Amino acid sequence: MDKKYGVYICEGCGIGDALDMKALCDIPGEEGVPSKTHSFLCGKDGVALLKKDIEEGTNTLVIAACSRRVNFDVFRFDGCIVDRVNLREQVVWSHPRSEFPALTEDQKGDEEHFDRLEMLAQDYIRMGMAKVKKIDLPEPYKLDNFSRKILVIGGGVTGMSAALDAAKTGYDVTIIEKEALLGGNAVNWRKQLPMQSPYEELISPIVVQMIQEVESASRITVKTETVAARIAGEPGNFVVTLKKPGEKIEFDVPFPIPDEMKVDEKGKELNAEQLHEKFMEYNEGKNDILSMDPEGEAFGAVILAAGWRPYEPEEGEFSHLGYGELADVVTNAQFEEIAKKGKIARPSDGKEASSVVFIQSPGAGEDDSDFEYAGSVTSLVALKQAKYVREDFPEGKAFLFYQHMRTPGLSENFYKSLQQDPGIFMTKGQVTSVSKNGDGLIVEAENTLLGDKIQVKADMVVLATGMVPVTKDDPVVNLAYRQGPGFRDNALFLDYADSNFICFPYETQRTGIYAAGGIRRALTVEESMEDASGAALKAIQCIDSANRGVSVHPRSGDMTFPDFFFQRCTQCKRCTEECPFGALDDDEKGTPKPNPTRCRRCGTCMGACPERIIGFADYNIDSVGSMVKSIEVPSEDDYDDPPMRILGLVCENDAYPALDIVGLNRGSYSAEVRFIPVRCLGSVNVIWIKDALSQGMDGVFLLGCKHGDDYQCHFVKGSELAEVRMKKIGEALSSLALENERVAQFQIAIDEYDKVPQIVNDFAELIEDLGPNPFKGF
Amino acid sequence: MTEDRGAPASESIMVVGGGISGLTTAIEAAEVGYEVFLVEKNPYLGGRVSQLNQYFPKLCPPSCGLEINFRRIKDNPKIKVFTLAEVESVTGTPGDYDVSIKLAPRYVNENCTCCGDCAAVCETKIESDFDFGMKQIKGAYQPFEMAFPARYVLSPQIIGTDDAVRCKEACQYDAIDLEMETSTLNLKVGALVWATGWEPYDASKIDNLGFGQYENVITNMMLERLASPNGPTKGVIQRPSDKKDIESIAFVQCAGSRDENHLPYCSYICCMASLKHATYIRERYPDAKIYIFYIDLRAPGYRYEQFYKRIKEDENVFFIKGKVAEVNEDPATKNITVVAENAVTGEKIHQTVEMAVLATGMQPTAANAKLPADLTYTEDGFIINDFEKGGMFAAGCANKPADVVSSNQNATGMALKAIQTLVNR
Amino acid sequence: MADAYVIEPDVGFIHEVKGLGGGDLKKCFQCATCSVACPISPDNKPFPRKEMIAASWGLKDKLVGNGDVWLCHNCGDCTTLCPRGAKPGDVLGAIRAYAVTEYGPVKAIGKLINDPKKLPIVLGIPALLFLVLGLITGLLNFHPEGDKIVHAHFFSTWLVDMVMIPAAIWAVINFALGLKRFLNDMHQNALQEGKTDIEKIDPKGLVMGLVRMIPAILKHDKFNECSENKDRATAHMMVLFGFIGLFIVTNIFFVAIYGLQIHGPYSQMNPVKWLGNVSGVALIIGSILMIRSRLSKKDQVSAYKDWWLVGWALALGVTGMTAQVTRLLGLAGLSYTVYYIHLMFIWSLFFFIPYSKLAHLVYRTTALAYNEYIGRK
Repeated sequence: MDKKYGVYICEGCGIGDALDMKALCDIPGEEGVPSKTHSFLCGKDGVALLKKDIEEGTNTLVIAACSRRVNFDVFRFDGCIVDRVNLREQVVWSHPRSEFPALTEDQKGDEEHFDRLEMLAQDYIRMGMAKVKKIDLPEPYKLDNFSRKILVIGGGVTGMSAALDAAKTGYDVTIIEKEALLGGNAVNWRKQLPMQSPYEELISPIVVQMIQEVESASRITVKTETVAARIAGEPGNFVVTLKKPGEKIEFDVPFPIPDEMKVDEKGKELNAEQLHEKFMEYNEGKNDILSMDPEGEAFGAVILAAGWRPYEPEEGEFSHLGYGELADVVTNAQFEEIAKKGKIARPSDGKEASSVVFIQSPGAGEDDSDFEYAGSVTSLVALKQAKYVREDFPEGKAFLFYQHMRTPGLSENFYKSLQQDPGIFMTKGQVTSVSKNGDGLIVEAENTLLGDKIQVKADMVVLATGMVPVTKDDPVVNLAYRQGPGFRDNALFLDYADSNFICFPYETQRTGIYAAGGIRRALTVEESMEDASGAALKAIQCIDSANRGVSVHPRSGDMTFPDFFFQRCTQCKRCTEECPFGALDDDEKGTPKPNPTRCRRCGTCMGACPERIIGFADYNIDSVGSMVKSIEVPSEDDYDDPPMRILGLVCENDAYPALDIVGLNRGSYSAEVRFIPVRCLGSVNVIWIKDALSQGMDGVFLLGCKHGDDYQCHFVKGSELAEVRMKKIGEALSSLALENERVAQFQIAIDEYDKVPQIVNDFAELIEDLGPNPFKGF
Repeated sequence: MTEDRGAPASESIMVVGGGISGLTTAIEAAEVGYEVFLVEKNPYLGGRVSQLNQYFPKLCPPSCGLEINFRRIKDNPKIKVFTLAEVESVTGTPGDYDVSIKLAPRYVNENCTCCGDCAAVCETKIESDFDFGMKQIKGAYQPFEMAFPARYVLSPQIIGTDDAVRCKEACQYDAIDLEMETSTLNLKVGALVWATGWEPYDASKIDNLGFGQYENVITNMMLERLASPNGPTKGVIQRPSDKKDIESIAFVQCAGSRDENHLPYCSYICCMASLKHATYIRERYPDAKIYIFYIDLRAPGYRYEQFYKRIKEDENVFFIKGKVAEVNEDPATKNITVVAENAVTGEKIHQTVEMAVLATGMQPTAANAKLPADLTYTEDGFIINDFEKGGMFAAGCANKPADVVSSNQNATGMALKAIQTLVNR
Repeated sequence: MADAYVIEPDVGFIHEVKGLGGGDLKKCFQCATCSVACPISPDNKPFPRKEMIAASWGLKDKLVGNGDVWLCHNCGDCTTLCPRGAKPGDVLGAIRAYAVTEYGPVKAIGKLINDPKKLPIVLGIPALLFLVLGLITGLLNFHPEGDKIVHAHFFSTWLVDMVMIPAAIWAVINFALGLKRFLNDMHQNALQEGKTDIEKIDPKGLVMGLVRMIPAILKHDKFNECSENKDRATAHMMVLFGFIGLFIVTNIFFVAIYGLQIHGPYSQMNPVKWLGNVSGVALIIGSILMIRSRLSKKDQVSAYKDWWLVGWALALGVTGMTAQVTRLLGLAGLSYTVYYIHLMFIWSLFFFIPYSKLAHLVYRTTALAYNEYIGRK
């Protein structure tokens, strides 16, 4: 579109009192861009004025007023490019005139004095103008082939529940189940935990009726003895190859080559083609991820509900509890099987087991934790199975040794009702040994609530072992992604396919694939079914968003997507490797193939690209670069003692709001810093920093989220990647005879706004001490 | 933001409660493409979590996720937010409900720029409920820095006083409208999700634990406020009586929860909350002694288990299996002595500390005031979901006690249930 | 600590304790609130938390011989605060009832008086015994001559002694046997649970402990520590002192007859008479107060065993008083009948005391003395 510019400066909220409006208007004036001021731009007349100009053709507006975080709806004009210049929170509110005085008449024009605040405001206006010149309105990305179908991996309670939910909402679903029958673990249960208040009685497993529902649901297709060989493509158009378990086919997903294969015998890094060769060798008999299966079935989104498997203790792992040595010591899963068969009988001799001890924590040493992968489910299951003993034998006795009875929330009621049974005996305690006693067993425990070290005679002992996510054994989703077939973060989560976000439990590093149920945490049937509904919603939401050509969380609704200028691509693969969401798959030459609907629009690829060929319609190397270049860097030619110029690249999610709050609280910090909000620190391209320094700016810092295992980055890896890049840039700087200290990165959480002024000022001081950038003035 | 766009009932969902669960339901549904009305009784969104300093186990600030959610609302015209709003009545059937909403006056209109001039001139100080009365705020105030909507509010307490007039005169943007009155709004929606959340159990009802009698006995939610950067002490944790630093502190678990005299159920979060609070104390006082008295330490799931393990490594954190049933104060020192039996050793412990924190549990909002709709509840006031009937659902802690993660999983699912109602009507 | 203790839950025991008023014992989830709520529970191995788990595990031998169940004065503080509604106070009460039967040499008698259905038998025994003996010996005279009503003319003092003295001796023997076992068990339990490290009981020390305890017992110190229903102290004190008073009167009477050959009835002016009347009135009012408070207590269970005792006490007082009043009013027939009934109550009091709740008089005192002796605070 051909742009008709307009700059609008608000005088309200103290802006007019602190700043010289005329001087500000001169800036667009110099470029022949019309500008207007208004005493109250967000008020009715203010908006009317804007609307009038828009009617008269203005379509590219720079609104210099308050933060973009407020009046978002007031200054939203469809079909117009709008940039918000933050003169309020980040200029006048955070730089009181008392500290940053205006010039007196006779100071004006001398080479000694300058008005820091005025300069700050003017730069921001310049930056805003520079930006709007370089950005365009986004066009949504539309998939050529689009599918609304949902693939559910796993035909257990969670999978079936998700399928039913999606079907009821009007979506076609295919469930694939690796076993011959639907139902998963639940079909092997005698009874099930209660699912609703009063949570008192065991119920018969609902899985039975759920299977019937699924089989009679017209929108649901069930494929048993089926697994996903590979899932290629992207949300809205996943191309899925299905196969029988164990089968070997050419569309089995290839795995990335191990690092040691990435170098030649001399230890030199292989180039893209060589790497691809190795890759194909390594995955012999399998097609590359980019060769789509012509027979592949198209799906819009995937729900990963492959669930869990019972924990299998290793050889001698719980020898002190007799597991492995004594036939009558079993896991809760094995006990459930026995109970399912009928009256509880001892494995050793088939005799009735009317006295059973349930052990909830391995109890080795001082450790009071439950068995691994336990969650709170194993406590509930121990209670459930204790009840079996009582059902089968009127004189039966069930003993529970727990460290912490974990029946959280309303399941406390279940605990309470089970307590009532006169034949169930519970105590906190540390089981020290299980040994043979005639044809039975004897369990010894310490630190019990019965005071002494105690012994209990038992026919059987049951270990409350945990629920292992099947993702521990293999990726399951088998994504045909260059970054690999599995979820990326699982190592952080004990191999569960969980999310690291407390607020956004369905957000993982794989767009369009949503995990639910036992594969993400040890959950009860009730919890799994709730989780399934959530995953179904996210799948549906992802499909519809892909269809509308907009991004999903966290930049929901964002219509932009990365655009590549492939002619200049050097096949360095960095974008492919660094994308937190695996949105890019490079081909045999190493040229990235974008999968826009996998993309979350963080711009990490843009930050990674050394050739700077990646950008978004409204956010690109040039738009930010020009903002940097538009900053005026005064030198000795201008002033005897010119002020420094520091560039601050701030994460718009956390750091930018924090800065706003500093203004809101009328804090104050150095006026030599120019902030540019970025989508994520991961999108920061070092060229911006080089530009800044080469034009004489004295320092650059990045301000963004905390990283590490408990990362707060909404794009998972952004701030971490930035840190790595900043380390690299250090070397580049020293080659330019610039001190490394001139470039820094600081981590802050959104609520650490009180620390921001300190951070900014300390950095400014440090730069002051280093002295001006030698390139200044060139 | 509060005008009715009168969307067709078939397309719209009402979410009652703007806490983390309500926000999640509302935004997730809207991002599928449905019209959503979000009704919140406070003048701000965020609910309980906005009062928290950090989430367990990541120790990250709730405002981080809230900010993203607020942005999602800002970017999504399909969500209409009503603050200071309460549902008065709901009639109709699944797919077709008539809801009337009572809108209390904010006395501040959309002209507000948050410049703060009104607060500057306001002389009346009121107790901040947000800070559980630990802080006095002006009669014209912004609930908290990152509050959404970013707009001031006048406390009804100053209406009709000179203060109100002063505020009005101080505002250059004519944003203060003292004529505002309670109004009613009728909306047609296809489904409702009740995310009415929870309230901290009133600790003064637990008379053997000394809350309200002794200054240095506070609740876990009060500690959250003390630890918060925007709290009454800007994050400084000292004991209330004399602003003394903390050398020893006791956490009393199950203060009211798992107790038939109070809340018979387990409140789910208190154990993890106290473990988190141990980190608050440790961050500020490297060698303070921390005593945690519990019945069962409930840190379920690999993540919570890991967190618990981390705390256990701290040699100055002591875990005692035994519920505190007696709390005394030494009038001279204002020190607190908590009494419990260590059930494992069978010794009665009289632990004297500088401050005691009651890990009070959560009570569903509906326990104290039934909702104006045809809903069924448990004895304790949790809403029972009837998926067969459909139409109306409870999300988050209105349905059962839960942590933020589970609440959000549940709230996301309820968004789908609501959509199903619209699709199948 | 002793080496591993082999646990063998006795579900039958659990049911019995439930039946004796401990119906909610299984609700306990071991939060230990009760041990703290109890104002008289010691810091070292406090009760009743450990008794509660022992009960819900059916560990009879950890409870029957456990002195702590007797230290409890059943004030109900623990029951009020119990978060699970397990009513520890009542559970201990039930255990005490069980223990009493357990230590009585003839268990059948315990069963007899703990069973409401057997009440007629309990009352029938003395009625019949008196009649039979009276007729055989002719010491029961249905046509006492003389216009002045003298109970002894109807029911000879000889006959009274003939039935009462053996009953009293019986009681003493039973208690002696019971106490011996009880003391021994209590000590073993204390050693096992680490309440004391004194290996062997030194009788002298024990007696000293008793002596030290007596004033506290009379003053009802323990009662007054209770925050719940303190008022119980007054009632209990009245009943206790009522009994003591009447006990003294009876002895004086006994000595007077056989030593000084003075026969009743005494004139109302006689100080001994005063003591008798005052004690009688105290007994009546006290037991009425007790019944009132029991009726008003909702959270506290009142089992048959509890009614038995208060009922008995009241009956005793009322019949005694009525016999006297009717005598003074000259209502011969009525007076004699009531006197007969009065004696029935006295007799069964003696006879059943080692098996009734009243046995706490002995067991609790012993437990208190023992606890004092081992110096457990």
